[in-house]
Amino acid sequence: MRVAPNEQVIQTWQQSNFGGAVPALSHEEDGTTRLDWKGGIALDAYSNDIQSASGSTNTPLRSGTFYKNIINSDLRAIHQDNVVEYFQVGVTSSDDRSVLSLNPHQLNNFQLGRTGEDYRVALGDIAPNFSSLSSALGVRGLFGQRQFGDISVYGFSGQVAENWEVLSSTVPSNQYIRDVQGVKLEKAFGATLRTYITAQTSSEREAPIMAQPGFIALGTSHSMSVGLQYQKDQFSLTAESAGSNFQDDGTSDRQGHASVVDANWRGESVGLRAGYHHIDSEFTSLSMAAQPGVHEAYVGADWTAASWVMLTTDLRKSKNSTLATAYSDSTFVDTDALTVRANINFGPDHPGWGLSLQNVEAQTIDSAAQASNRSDVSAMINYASPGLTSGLGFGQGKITSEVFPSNDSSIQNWSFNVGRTFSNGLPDTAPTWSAGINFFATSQTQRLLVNGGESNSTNYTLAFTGQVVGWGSMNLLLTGGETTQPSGAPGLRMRGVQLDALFPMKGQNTFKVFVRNTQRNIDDPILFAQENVLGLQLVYNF
Amino acid sequence: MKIFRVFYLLGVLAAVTVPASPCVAEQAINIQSEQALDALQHLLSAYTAGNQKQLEALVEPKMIGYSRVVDAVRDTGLMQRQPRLTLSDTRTQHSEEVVIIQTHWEKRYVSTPGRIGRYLSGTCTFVMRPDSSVWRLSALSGDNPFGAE
Repeated sequence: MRVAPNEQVIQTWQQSNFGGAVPALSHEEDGTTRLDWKGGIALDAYSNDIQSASGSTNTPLRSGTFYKNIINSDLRAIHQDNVVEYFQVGVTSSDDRSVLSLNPHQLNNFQLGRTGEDYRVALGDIAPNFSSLSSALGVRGLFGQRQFGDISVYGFSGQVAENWEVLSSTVPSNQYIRDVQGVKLEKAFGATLRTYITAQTSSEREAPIMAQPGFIALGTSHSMSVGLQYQKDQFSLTAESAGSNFQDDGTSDRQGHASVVDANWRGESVGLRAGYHHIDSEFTSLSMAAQPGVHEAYVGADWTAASWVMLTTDLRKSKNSTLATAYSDSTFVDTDALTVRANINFGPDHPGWGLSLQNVEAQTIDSAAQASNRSDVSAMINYASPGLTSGLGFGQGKITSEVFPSNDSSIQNWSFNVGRTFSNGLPDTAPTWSAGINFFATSQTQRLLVNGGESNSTNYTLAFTGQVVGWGSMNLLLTGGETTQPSGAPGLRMRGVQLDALFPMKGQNTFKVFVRNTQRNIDDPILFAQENVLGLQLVYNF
Repeated sequence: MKIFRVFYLLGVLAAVTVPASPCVAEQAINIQSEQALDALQHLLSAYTAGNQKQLEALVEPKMIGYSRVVDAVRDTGLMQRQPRLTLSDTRTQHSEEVVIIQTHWEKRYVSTPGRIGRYLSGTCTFVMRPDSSVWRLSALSGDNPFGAE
């Protein structure tokens, strides 16, 4: 096969196959290019020794010896004119129910496709991403894209299911399967403006095996949207409006509308952003971004006021509503929030020093007219130099809520971190060994306004790292924490140790040993849990 | 404890016999999916650590329903002690601009007041999108793991 310059081919591949590994090209003597098959296997074998006073309520792990195996394969061929064909597949196998809860084998992803300069076709796990209010979801099906000059056409058809195993009747499903289709027509006006129109439909049906009988009526939905994307220089604008119609034999038929506008501008020292989102509770679409019942507006800015200070602000007003049903009225939560930050450096006379200040004010009121308020002020001073980082922070806040008045509190926070790295590296030579130590601790005091009761939480993390070229690396992590109770009841305590050592092998393969011990509330007859894990991991890439 | 001894011996044996070569990180076939999963793990770690500022930095400001996530974290931070959020049955799908992560989550925490161990679970989809070099949460659909009940 003779191809265009490799850089151009790789660029085309990256643009067309987001997420795919970059092909490795090897030159033949006669000038042709051959593609390699890339793949990898990560095999974990580990043994858990778990003790829990309340079974799975306290820990997700179970005692026993388990394995986990992840296999990935990526097969590609590049033809003339930058045409690329590919086949990607990933599989996980494990007998550990905390990894795979339903079946010991899972098809993580599967996709085969073909891309050219003006078209793309994919089959398997596809993720159509038309826009915020139309189609943005994961589908198991077929995707196609074709470009005709300034006009592009996108289309997909497939099924939305929890996983491939549901579709193959291997495991039961907790939700209906949706058959979905969508199409998008896009027109570009030069390099700055693109407009589009979309249409999508979905219809629900029962999965081959349902975990529970489907009591909810099967529904069908149709939606359409129009939108634009404008970008010139440092200004960008996206806007979209959509309508939908949902039917389920009269049970909860509904029509909904949605509109979104987002704008962003960046100047030399100022950045501005603003947006408005209005999505009816009745709106339905194939976009996971379009959450029904969201009404929100925001304005944000960042301003480098001087060489030593940057100011950031974010003002947000939102109202989240639920859908009214035959059994319940619509409810809402209305929130206003303001965040102001300042990042300060102390100039060239004090290199490495920085100070950040933050104030957050939030007010919430719900449909039952119950109000909540939160106020936080915090400051943190940092110092960084080659091989050393450190920081000290303090914050004070107050929370009041008519929903949970027993938790009305004033809060004080302290945080401290320090990190140091060592190596034998010189300005003109790479280090052959390096080591590091990091310590991070936080302390929080919560004082209840109702009765003055006080609760203290202290947590720390201490990490040691080391690496020797040719030998491998090692990490040791120590964690701990305690929370006292305002009632004087025994505190909550947690302690953990984790050690892992990674050894390089030939090529890009590695071998790792890991050990972990975690103890939670060791003296508590109900909350006690202890986990011991010892395992090996082998990673083999080809 | 026999299995522990076997693993220990295997570990020592491997440590002695593996050939020396430059240390390499574990290679991921699907780099973007791995980066998105790492970013999600950082977000969940920030949540369980109660680091609101770090969490907000990993959520797109223009995300529809931004307040649903941030408010849930803000409201429940002081009522959930020792929170622990674990994922299982995780699958990824990717397109030109996003990585979609479908997963089952389990949350365990001790509620205050009352000092009662709680267990919640659900299924949700995280949509992650790269912004410059940082992956951020772009959408959350399904059961909200950041809520209290």
